[in-house]
Amino acid sequence: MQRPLAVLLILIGVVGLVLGRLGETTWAPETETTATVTLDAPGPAVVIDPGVAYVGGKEGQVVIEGASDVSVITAANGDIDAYLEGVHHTRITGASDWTTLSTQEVNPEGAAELSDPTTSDLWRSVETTPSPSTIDVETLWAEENGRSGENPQPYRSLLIVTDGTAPGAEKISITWPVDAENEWVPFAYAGGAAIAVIGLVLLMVSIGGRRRDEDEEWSVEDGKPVEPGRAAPARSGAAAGGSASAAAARTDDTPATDHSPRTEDDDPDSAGPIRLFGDDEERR
Amino acid sequence: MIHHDLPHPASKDTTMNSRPVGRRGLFLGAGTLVASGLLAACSTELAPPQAPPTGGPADEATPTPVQTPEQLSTIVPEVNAAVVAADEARDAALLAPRVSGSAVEFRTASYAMIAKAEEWAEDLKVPGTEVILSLTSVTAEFPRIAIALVQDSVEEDGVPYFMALQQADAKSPYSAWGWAQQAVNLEIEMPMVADELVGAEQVTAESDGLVMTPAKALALYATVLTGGDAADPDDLLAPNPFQTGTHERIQTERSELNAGVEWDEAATVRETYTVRDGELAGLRTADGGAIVMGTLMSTRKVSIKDGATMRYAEDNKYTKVIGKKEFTSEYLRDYGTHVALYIPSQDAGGQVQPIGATQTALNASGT
Repeated sequence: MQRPLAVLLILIGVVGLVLGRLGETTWAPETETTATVTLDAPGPAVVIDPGVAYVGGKEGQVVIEGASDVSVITAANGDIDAYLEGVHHTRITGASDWTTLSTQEVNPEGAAELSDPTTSDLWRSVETTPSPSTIDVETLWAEENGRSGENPQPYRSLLIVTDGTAPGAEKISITWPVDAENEWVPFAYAGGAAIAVIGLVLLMVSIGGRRRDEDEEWSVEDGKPVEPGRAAPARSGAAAGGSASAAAARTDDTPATDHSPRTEDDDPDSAGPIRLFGDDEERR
Repeated sequence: MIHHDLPHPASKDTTMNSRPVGRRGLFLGAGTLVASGLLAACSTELAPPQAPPTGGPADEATPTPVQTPEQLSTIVPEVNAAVVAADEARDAALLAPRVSGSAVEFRTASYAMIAKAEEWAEDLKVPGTEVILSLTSVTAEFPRIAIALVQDSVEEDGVPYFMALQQADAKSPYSAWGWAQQAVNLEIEMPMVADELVGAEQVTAESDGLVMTPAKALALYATVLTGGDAADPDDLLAPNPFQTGTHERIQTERSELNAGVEWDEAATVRETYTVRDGELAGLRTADGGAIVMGTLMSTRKVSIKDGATMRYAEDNKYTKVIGKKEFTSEYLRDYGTHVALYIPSQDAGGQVQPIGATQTALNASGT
């Protein structure tokens, strides 16, 4: 019984370790999170509000898709508002949940076109690229804080336009890295390792006990007395250890009766009651 | 003595069952531990997204310039390019959108005069492409003002210009409505201005905290240019090269007109200056004063005494424009002048100091 249990524990332990490894790899959660919004008739301009690019931290990227070349414009926040006064546009205001960017439509009845929106003197930078346009959040942060040039402007709005007549953007997504991991992985490793070690110990004890029993069984058959406390396996094949040892401690010729009265003068080596010892005591 | 080792069911059972129960418990406990860990992980929920950061109140409390030196360094060359293109084509329409207001009117008048007398082309003043110093504003309201000290286009070491730039509204570009060449006089101390990355508060015609409002300072300058130092009994206006030069030229002309006759017997010469409304660019200086730019309009009138005749022996630039050299009633020349003044703060006190001026002849006529 000891050996199958040991093998079972080892197997469970290995399963725990494998689970832990799978939790770190195959079953690991996504290392990035993306919040997206698809814009339907947002107007000729889309404004990403100050700080929204950092909704997931100061790393990651903002991807903007438009019908044509996309221009990303930076300016003083108030300047963008002033420029878009009376113009139909959409603001990206944040993330309503971890996968969706929230929006706010502004001036839905306002002007539907902007004349040459990339040439205003209000603009501090204009980056025009084919769609999709990508903004590196870390670079943006460095620029805003003057680490990659002059003119720092923390938490600036980003104005997104195309040609002034088409929608400013059709889809915007912000992706950022996350440190997510399965919280149960350490438990799986620790538990699996512990159970496996216990199983191994049991297995070793089982193997060691069987050898000793075999040795002792050989001694009894040769007419040598059995040491008190030795729990030799029954010849009939009863498993070592446990209650079975009460009977197995005798030779085949000894009645297996625990209740036979004994005197103090009785030879404890030959017919005395069997004392049950723990493994440690047995080993001594 | 008979010793009965009586069975002791309780203790015996406990002893006999201790090993299997311990292993089973350990097994079950470990399994429970792993399972509970899995369940705990499965039940973890992400916190909802936080509101995006927008900077703290300190960021909002610190005003930043509404222009950047880079922006002005882009705009000024475009002003230069527009002026150069317009001057070459003698077409003031090419000045837009970077040049506006009185600068366009002055150029338009100049081209008309050049059409009649080519030598007027030599008088066209063209600010260069290089910004020496940007005077930026922290006032976000429109119209916005900036003043750029711009290198002369003719000589690298020439006298720079104060260029008044204005953005009427958010959708309009910055345009220059005037440029005034810096006063070259070692006795004139130029005011200290705010760093271009810090910017300065914009002043209006009626801004206070100065020894006088910008409107009054411009009016005072016009008055003194018209009437001389006598028109400034309190000596509020400091001497300046433009005033000195203008009065010297008038005096010279008066002398020439009345040469050989009694004082002003033949003709009187008087130039009258007025402030053009609607054009004023002003920014605070570092000491709380202000640099103010404005536009003055003037007419120099030669009034000829009854019965007298003023006659030029040879044509000059003006007579070519007018088309005659002889006048019996009056002889008029119109000018426009962009000026720059330094107005000290009320606390510091002192005189209003003109620090720049560029005059453009606009027309000439006479009868």
